[in-house]
Amino acid sequence: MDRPDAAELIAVALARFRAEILPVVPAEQRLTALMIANALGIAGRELTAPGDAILGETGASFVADMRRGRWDGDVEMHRLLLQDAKTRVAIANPRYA
Amino acid sequence: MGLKIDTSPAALSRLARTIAADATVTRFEKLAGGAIQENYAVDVETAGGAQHLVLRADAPSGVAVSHSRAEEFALLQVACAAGMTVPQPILFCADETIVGTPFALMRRVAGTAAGHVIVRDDKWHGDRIALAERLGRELAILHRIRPPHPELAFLPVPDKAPALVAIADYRGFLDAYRSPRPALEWGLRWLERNAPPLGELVLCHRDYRTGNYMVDDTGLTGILDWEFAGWGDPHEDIGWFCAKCWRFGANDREAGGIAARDDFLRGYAAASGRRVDPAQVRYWEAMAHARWAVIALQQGERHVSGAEPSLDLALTGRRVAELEYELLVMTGP
Repeated sequence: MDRPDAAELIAVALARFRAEILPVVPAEQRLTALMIANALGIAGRELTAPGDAILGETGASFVADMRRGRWDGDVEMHRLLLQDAKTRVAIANPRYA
Repeated sequence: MGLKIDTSPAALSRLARTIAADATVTRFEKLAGGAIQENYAVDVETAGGAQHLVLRADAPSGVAVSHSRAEEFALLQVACAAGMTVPQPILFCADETIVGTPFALMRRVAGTAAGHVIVRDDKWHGDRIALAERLGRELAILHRIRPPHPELAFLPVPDKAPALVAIADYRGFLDAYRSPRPALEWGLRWLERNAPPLGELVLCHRDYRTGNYMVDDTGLTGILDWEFAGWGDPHEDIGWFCAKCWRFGANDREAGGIAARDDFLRGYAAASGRRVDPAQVRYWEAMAHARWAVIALQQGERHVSGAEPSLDLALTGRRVAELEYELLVMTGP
């Protein structure tokens, strides 16, 4: 694999963007610039996130079972869903509180 | 889908004449914001003086779930007549030969609606409590309106619990979506099992939140965006206003990111004969996260499908993680 790879390119481009471009962007483009930085940040974190799936198979029968109440009040299912959601939030919005 | 709006000099001249025979348009400028409608600032000169208006028309990629411009205008008129602080409605024009699409005209309201500015700007400090109370009071005034209403015959009157109607809608969306959303399915199941029964129905705004009202340094200047209003459970509007996802990061100020929950509810109670059930508000706050998650998925999909490539829509799509997370937190076993 050629280096720097996708994640490394994003990281260095984003750092440079934040350091050199974002501070001098005209007021009218500031929101766009912040969104660009945000999108790159998400992409970079997604590329470097561990790939292990927390949830197993979640296809149509999973959905049907959930809607039928198979896991009503199920502490373990809730825990797994929450853990999976936390992992995704860490990628999409690490500052979420 | 609406037609692209005609902004040629001839069209503006026709537009002016819908307001007054001697009117001329002196300013016509697209306003930012509004993913579903096109809004324009319109200044008009007549013998009687200048008028500062807003024109609202459908955007080309309109969303089916929101009202037509005519229906939205009717809602605005009803809200105005009830005494709410809203942009004063001027006229609705169904004639598509004027600017190429039906449109509504209303008086332009001063100030800002930008949520992240309103919650952060210390100018509102001290006035925040008054603003929250005022917003509570305004909502209570809206909730005095009950079905049936002669000008709102187009609004369906639910014969099922509003919560169950919403859940069925969201499941329908998820059935057609590109992949399952386990967290959202968990949340919807919890919401189904805990759904309040069909109770009293009131006119709900359905997008009553920070970001949809204008303020200037005098306070509230107008409540906007009546495109989703309909008959529903009053706790739905209160829950949407207080939902964590609508605090623009000012998470400690539970009422719309501007003040404490009690400040908002105090204003509501002062103008309402109804007791607000805090448990019901919490229920609808959870539902708010489910609803916003579905909207976020829809907006992300507009980008992903190529229908409307947009950085804004793309990023909105990625907000679903925090919305699902919050929904799970609120619907734990």
